[in-house]
Amino acid sequence: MDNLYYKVKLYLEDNSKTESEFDSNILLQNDADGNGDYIKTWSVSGVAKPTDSQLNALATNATKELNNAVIRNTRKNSYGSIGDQLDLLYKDMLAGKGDSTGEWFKSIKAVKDANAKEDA
Amino acid sequence: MAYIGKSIESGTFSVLDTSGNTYNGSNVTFSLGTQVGSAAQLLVSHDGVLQKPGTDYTLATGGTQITFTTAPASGASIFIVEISGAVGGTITPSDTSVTADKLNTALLTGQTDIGANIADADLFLVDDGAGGTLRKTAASRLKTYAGFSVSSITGATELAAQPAATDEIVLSDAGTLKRLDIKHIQNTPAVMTQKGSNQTVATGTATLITFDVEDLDTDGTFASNRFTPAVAGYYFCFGLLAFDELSDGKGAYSILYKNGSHYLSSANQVGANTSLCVTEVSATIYLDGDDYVELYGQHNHGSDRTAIGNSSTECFFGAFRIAGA
Repeated sequence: MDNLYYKVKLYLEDNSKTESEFDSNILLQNDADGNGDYIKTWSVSGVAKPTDSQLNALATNATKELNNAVIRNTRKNSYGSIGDQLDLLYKDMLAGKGDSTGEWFKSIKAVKDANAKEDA
Repeated sequence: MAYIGKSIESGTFSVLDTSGNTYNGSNVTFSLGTQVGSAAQLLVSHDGVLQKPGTDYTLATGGTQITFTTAPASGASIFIVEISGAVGGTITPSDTSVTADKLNTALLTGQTDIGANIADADLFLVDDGAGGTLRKTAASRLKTYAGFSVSSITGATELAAQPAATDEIVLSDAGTLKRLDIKHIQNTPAVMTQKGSNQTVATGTATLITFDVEDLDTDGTFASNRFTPAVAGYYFCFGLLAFDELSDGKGAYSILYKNGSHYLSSANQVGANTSLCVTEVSATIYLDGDDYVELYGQHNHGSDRTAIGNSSTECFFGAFRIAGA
């Protein structure tokens, strides 16, 4: 099933659970047999294993979650290293530009604007 | 007088005792005092005239009597010489005179099988000194000569190559000599596979990694991305997965599956400025006749990532039996 991880994540959140359930209570699996991803094991306390229809109802929002995850990673890779960012901040502060006029702020904003998240 | 020509090699010439016979012109049959095989075996003199076998006389009563065609007259002078041995008598060959051609194979085939293992005290005949003297020897002595020794190895032809799986060696199994296929002490079955093409793996999803390049598959036991050795034993299983472009702080898992279920996993996390995530796993796993092992991969990047299969840093999976374990 496409985008199964985020469908299950949203299902958990709808049932007052978190992603931490994936650590030991949920196993998603793909056996490379052409049948796609599926829930191999489910032992979430107090929450029944979702049906296909329940998961499919979450498809739109799950796609947004996935797209935003991609955007987050793109942003993360585009921001540059922490060291470089701290260097920019240091220089901005020396120049009295520790606000939105500084170079660090501009560079971060440029990345965010170029990689806008979808509304959840 | 000695013989003219070659002397007889067996049998005798002997004058039969016919003193008890009474010649009266009517009796024709007389005892020979022995038994002979044919009339021609006798030299019969009747009043100085040599008698012709079959004409002048014949044998009677199984060769123990002689019957004259004409009854000897009273006072006839008769003596009878037997040529060669008597029928049923013992002929003793001279020393060393019995050759192999004179023996029949029934000498062996006609004997009763021993029906049990040869005992140390059983005897054999040997030619002591090759053309020397025929002697007996005990089976215990044969063992010391024909038994397996170092020279049995050093004197044999060297194989000088990897033995075939069905080549055999001989060993003592708790005191019993047995033969053993060499494959039982080889590290086989063994497989080594690589990933020849990239594979997309969804985030948070344990995914069977496919391996389409077989570097080694000794027994044809790798198929459909799983190793099914079909020979019970302990196997060293190992794998490496390389995921491309994982974000800082994200990680990946290499997971060994046995019979479709998680067996053992190993994780690695990506640090700053190292987007490639390589994770390795290895384990010694007992597999019986139909158990199988697979390698799964998983990551938490947040979106699809690639398990690399077309570069120098690519995924691989292998296993081999631990001989002796």
